[in-house]
Amino acid sequence: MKLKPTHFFIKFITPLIWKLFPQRKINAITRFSMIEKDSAVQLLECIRFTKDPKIQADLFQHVLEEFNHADLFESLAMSYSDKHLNLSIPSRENVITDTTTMEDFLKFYAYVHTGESDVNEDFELYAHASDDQLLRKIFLRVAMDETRHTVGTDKILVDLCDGNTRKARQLEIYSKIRRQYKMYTIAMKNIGQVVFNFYMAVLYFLIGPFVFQTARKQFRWNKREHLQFMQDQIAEAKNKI
Amino acid sequence: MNILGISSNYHDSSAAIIVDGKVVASSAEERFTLQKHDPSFPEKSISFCLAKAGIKKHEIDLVVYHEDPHVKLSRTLSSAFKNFPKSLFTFIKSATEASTSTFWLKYEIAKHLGIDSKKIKFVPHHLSHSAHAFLTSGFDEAAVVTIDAVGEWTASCIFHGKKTASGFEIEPVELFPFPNSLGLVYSAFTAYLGFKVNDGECSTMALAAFGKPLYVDQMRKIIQVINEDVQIDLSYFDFTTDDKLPFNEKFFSVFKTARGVKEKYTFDCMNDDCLTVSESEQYYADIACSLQQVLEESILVIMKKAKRMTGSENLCYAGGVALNCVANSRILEENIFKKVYIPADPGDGGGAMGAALAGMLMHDCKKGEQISPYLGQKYEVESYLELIKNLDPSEWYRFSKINTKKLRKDQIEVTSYSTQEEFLNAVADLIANNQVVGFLNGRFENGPRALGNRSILCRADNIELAQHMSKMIKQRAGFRPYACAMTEDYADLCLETRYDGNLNKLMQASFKVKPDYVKHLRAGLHIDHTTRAQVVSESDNETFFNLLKKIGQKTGHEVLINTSFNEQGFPIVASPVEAMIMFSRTNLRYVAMGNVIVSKREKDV
Ligand SMILES: [Fe+2]
Ligand SMILES: [Fe+2]
Ligand SMILES: [Fe+2]
Repeated sequence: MKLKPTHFFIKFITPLIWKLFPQRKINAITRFSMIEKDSAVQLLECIRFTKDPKIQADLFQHVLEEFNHADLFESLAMSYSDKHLNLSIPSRENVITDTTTMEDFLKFYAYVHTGESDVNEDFELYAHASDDQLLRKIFLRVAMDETRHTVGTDKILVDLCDGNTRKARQLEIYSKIRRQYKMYTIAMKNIGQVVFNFYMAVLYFLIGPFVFQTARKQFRWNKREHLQFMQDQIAEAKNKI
Repeated sequence: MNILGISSNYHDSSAAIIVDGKVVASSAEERFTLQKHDPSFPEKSISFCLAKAGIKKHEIDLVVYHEDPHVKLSRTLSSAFKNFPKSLFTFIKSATEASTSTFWLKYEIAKHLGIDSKKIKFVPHHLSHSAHAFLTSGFDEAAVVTIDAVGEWTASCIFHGKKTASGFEIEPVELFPFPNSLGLVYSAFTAYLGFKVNDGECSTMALAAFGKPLYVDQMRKIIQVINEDVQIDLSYFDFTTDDKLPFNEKFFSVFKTARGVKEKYTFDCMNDDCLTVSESEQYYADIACSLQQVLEESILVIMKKAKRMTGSENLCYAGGVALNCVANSRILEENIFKKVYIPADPGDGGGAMGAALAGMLMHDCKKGEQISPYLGQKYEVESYLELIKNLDPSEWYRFSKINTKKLRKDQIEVTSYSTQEEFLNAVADLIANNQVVGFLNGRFENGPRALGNRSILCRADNIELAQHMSKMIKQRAGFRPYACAMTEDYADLCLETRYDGNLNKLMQASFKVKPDYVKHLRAGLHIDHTTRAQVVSESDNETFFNLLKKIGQKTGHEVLINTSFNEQGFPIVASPVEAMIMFSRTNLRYVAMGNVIVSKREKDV
């Protein structure tokens, strides 16, 4: 395995962060659970897209494994947490829609396939990011499954391309580029959020002393004022409609 | 005219469509994404609604969103600045939401739908709820009450709904502003009792039956009723952080520390003799009971006020709190109104339908008829049969959270029946012979209750079987009761009192069972021998009614346990594939759908 920058991070930085900030570890594992569940759901969509019952059955098996990974990560995160986990995926990417063509579907499936090989390397490294035996066991088990998935998804991809391996490889390269781009956008978004938070904190302390009285006044509105406000709101909505 | 309603961005996102005054389709997004209470934009529900209505996106005349996000933003920002300088994180959260969602929502929706943003309108959240309740009730006139966590600046509201010469009209007559919210306090206590907010409220309600109202005085200091008004004493709360429970030292000087999320409750609603639990566990049950009692008192105050202000004999009721079926029973018992109506999905899952109906109300509302709760998608089971026959169950045992058996491929059987009569007979035979059957029929229901189209069914007199179902199929805590579905004739025999209205059709209230019938329904009863009954008539759901009749022929009792077809942590299944996922991950041995029964032959292993 080549050591990519993300691998370097997981190998040397993650163990430190997880040790210093246990909540970060819980959040990371919870996120893995959500990602696994999301891939299960996306694969379910693929079942609806293909008509070949053999491929459908293979995909079904794959869905079950991804749900199982989600369960494993969820129970691991919960074993560290004294709060309920926040397992909601805030913005889901709906890959398969009613306008999806067979070509789009193949691109998506190739994307799933490259994802499998990416995560199996990551999970192997995460297995060593903590001394906890249960964590190690679960990450290694999932990594092992993902390695097997890589073989399975490769076979299905070639099947879906009607045996055209050249086409399958092209799709694979295309989706690897897409994955890199996606990682780049996520990183940028995170950096953007940090900058945004900083500006908002400045704004908060700048305007806070001037507006907090007004905010408190609004909480002192009596019922009549509130009722009037709602009546106006309804009248306005009615006007617009 | 085609009106699309949308609810999203909080929990239970949904979509609904009205074509020429008729609600044609409606669904919560979770049914398609398998994420319980999915808050994301309801893209899949919208696709389903449009397909069902047979219209293209550009044919939508009006899109109505279930709340006004700008007014909501004014509340979240005011809440943040009110607590200045302790509220930096809440401010950043609101600012992030504003910059990523609120400001662009109209354009986002327009982009998703590929339509002009001028077609998109916002309506007040409580108007959505009230339009949903009133315009689907079939009443010409009613008091309309909405009790919720919060919608914009409003926690609860009383409207007067009327038929006029030009159509219908819903006027707000009284309002209980945020933060005086019964819903928020109930959710806060749900978290205190160790359950998950916006999900575990039903557990809080179930737990209450095991407690005594020992802390009502303390509770009445938090939820205060003063001259027909409900007020919350905020000095017990701290809403400045999301990280911990929303209570402060004053709260904890009155109440003990919160129940840990991993501590399980050992109460068993099916065991009349087993009421001894640890002192600590009993304490939290007493808290739940006291909370439930004070909630009911407060709701009754609001209902009586609604009656006084509107003079109406009919009540339409919606909002998240309307899911509290024990409190709903109190409304019936108090006989405040002659008829009470609660829609199938009174919470935010029904928000989209409410929004669409509010749009219709404001545009040109001529109709106000009762609607069916079965407005979800229907699936052709035949198109899944080849997949099912190709499934290999040999690895399934590895993927289950509970102990399931290792199976061979030949141990999955698919049996097709040529007529529905034969099919229902076979299903009834299985159930009568003490089997648990997953039952998938027609269009799926709206709302959190399975009403016979996405249900798991079994005999109501077999406690052991129901306990097995809780443990090995549903993974459900023993203190949470199941519900009973029964025919109208049987309801007349076994329920203590029968009320007018739809509450007993949609499992919206719990009813006391006559002592003579307790043993026949015991597995579907709570510890107080009440049941969240679904009384089924032929016109409500013909297939399910016929099944109940057949059960009656075989067991002498036209009654079944009817619980939702889902695994713990998952929404109710929509399609046969999701049904098969639950089938493969749990000890559910039979799935009956579209004249086909899929079964596991486990005995020969
Ligand atoms: Fe996985
Ligand atoms: Fe995988
Ligand atoms: Fe609501």
